[in-house]
Amino acid sequence: MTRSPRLMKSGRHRSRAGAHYAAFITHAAKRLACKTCPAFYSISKVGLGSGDSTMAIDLSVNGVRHSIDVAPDTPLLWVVREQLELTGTKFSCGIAQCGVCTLHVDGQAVRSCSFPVSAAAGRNVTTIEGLSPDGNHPIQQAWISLDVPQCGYCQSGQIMSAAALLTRNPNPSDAEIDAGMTNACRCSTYHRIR
Amino acid sequence: MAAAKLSRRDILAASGALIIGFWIPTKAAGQIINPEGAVWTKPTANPEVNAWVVVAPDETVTIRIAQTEIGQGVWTSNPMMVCEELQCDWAKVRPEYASVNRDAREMAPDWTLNVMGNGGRDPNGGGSPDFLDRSKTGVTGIPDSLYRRMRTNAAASVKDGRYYLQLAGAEARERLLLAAAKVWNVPVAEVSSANSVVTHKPTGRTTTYGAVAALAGQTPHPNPKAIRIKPPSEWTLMGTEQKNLDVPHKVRGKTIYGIDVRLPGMKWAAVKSCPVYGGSVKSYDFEKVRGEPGVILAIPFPIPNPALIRGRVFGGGVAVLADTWYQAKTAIDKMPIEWDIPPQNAAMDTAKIRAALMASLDAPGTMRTNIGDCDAAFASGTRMVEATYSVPYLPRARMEPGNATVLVTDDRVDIWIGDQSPQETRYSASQITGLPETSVYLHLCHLGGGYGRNGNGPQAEQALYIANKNRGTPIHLLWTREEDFINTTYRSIGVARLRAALDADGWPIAMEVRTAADQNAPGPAAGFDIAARYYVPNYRFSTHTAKFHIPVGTRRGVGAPAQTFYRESFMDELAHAAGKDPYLYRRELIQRGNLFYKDDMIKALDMAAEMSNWGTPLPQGTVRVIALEERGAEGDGHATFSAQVHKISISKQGEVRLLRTDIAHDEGLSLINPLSVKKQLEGQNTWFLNDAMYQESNVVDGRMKENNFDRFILSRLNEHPPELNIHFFKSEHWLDGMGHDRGTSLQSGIADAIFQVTGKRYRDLPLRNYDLTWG
Ligand code: FES
Ligand code: FES
Repeated sequence: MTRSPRLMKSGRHRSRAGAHYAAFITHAAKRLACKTCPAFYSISKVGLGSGDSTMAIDLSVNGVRHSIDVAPDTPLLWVVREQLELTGTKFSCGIAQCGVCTLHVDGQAVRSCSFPVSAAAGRNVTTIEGLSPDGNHPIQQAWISLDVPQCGYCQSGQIMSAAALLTRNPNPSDAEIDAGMTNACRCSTYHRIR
Repeated sequence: MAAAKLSRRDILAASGALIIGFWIPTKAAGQIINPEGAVWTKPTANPEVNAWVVVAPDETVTIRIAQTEIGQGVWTSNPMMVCEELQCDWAKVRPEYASVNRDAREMAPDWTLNVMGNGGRDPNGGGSPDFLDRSKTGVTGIPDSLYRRMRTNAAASVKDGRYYLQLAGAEARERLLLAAAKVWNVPVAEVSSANSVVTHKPTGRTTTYGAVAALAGQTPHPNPKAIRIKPPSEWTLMGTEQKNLDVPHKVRGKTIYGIDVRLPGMKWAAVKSCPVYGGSVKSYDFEKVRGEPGVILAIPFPIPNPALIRGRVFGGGVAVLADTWYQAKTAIDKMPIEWDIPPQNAAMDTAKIRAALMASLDAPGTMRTNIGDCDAAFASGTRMVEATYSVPYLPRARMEPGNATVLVTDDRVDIWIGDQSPQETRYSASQITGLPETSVYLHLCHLGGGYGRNGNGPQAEQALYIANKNRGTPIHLLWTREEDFINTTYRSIGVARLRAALDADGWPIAMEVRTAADQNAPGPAAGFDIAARYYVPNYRFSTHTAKFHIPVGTRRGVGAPAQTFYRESFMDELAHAAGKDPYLYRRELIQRGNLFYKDDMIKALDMAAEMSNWGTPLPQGTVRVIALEERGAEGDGHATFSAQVHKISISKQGEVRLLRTDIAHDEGLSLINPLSVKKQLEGQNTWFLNDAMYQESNVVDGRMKENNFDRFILSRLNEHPPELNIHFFKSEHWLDGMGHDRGTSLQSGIADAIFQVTGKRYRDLPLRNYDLTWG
């Protein structure tokens, strides 16, 4: 494999408006690219991990199928954030404690910082960006009308947890909400979440 | 593996995507990358009305914000202050951050230097901006640069910014009216505006702000110093509950925080800093990880220059750069690193630090307040009460780990960062790269929590150092949670000894307060200085310090949380010693005193007590506790008062449950956005529950032991009180800020509830360390 011995001093990289992540610039030199999705393509394998440590993982994210070359123990969080550039799912503790990285795998809330991408192979992943087609899931609407977020950093995770909880149990009791909503919020928006 | 070679044509064909341009690193990066959800300054083709206001032909009003949104609501309250005077359509307002670069290039317009009114108690007046001397580091006031104080700290965004944000809106409105008058060729006195529509009163003709904005930009007011701002009695938008303008993006995952910034050609940096402050890298073995996927290089960095970060000494470290952050982090975790650690720092632990502070209490210290003759009164009192309290080191532990994206080229620096003190960072960038501040471009992002982190951390300095060594390549540095706990300042550990002599009826006749904390701890005088909040004829307050290697800084409430814990806990102890009701005991002592705002303090206590049904019977194991929270009680200027009653149960197994909180809160002459204030009060409830019950940072072998959310505990939804009531009361002064030092009463309150239920008095936070069982 080829790897830059040091950082490029100059060089031309191409920018484009990514349809996949609205208006967000993605750069063309994708290191770990999706083989099937036209929004993610590879022009160069420079810097790609060695062939034996990565494998192609097929999964569907927000209804789009991807085949991603990545080390199989990479947490799903980082595939979503780095390879797919869906940055709505956040990182904070990395050890399954706080819940800011919560997304859905086959409808179940999962702390993606501690969930290897290989375990998502062949499954349907939903992130905050794909929770509803237009960003108006009932929970998102409720969150807006109650003005829930403060800094907002934990809110993707809170909303994904709430969505999974309400799918399981459309009318949770207070105790069931306590048990189902275990994500941390440092700003403490708990009052409005409930 | 062979590198695939594709031509530009192939890429076009393969992607089917719109090519908007080649990335040329020497070009202004900030002008190219503007994703939806980005909140930094964006270029606009529309001419501005003034430096705060741009009105587009479609009537969209861009309002530029010089404070940073950290969840406290300035993204909404600051535009409200401009919009109130501008009289534009609130539904069309779009905030964006003010340009930090432009602030380095332009001086403030002369008319903004006119502070009107008489500060704290004048309803027509301006705020109380800290016109401190200009400091080149940006730490203190910048009285004459365009956007003035771009810091976000001390809950002062409204207090320090209101008058000139109102002025900025008013000046823009006057220009728009003048422009419309010019177009119609009528006297300006005949035109008025509301909701972005300008009306010629005699004829009823109308036009819009969007139609005359370009001309308004060329039409300065002939005498802008004569423009007055509206007092609260004339406000129509300010003082009303407005939803926060950043919420729709935040619930859709669209907000671009610093961690979300992506640039073409960007490389990621994972970092390890010496876990003992003052230490640095002795050696590291990059060869062990050179072949790891995506890894590019390792780069050591020195201890960030303390002169750039308020004198704080963090650690030196090493970064690994890779194509993705997870690759960089995986590699650095495997890379052997040896540290050079000052042995005296490695020898420190919490017990030694606490012992040194305890010893300092017996040394003379700094006498801050000395009224009457405490020693004589102590000799004559019928009873002495003495108590020693302590609080631990505490970090802010915001949810977004520290990060910064930096591109240095030979002629400019671009930084994408969530930053509570961008003028300081601008100065750091200039010092580290050798480029002038006018060549530094900070692209501000919302922060995933702040809680007092202004100017506190070296994430920008580390990233700048690395990017400066790799000019031409954008570097995104991101800390792990563990690194975030290392690269942060802490609220100082503190101890306090309070002594009082009581008379035969249990009222204090003398009180002495000694507090001790790190010598660099900010806010050491809070809550005790100048005058006793609770009347006592003989009163003495001194502060004591010692020097430690842990970097200390501001954290939500700064000095107030610890000092309120000491003061209110002691009042509870005195009330119990006197056999009196803790609410009425406090009330009587405030009543006996002569503090300027004592009526407001009593109002707060009475209102909270009434809201809570104070005195009505409760089941066994459940009690109510009360405390006063104040800021500015010692004077007659800006001040904020509240009282809170907490209903707390303690099970026989020792489980503490906060059942209900009733908050009576001062709204001063007016709040700006009461909804934001409520949200802050709700949030602080949990914040100080955590401080009271769970959180502590312990020093072991010179390093902080609690470095992730497994050991550093955050309470969850299930501990938030099922009932939380907030009532406001009017007072005749401007507030001294919000979002910061309320809810501190949970600390004394939970400790006193434990005492009332179990008979056990614990004076050292956090309280989960104790056996709370009873019965
Ligand atoms: S980042 Fe995944 S649980 Fe905290
Ligand atoms: S909204 Fe800030 S952490 Fe939850």
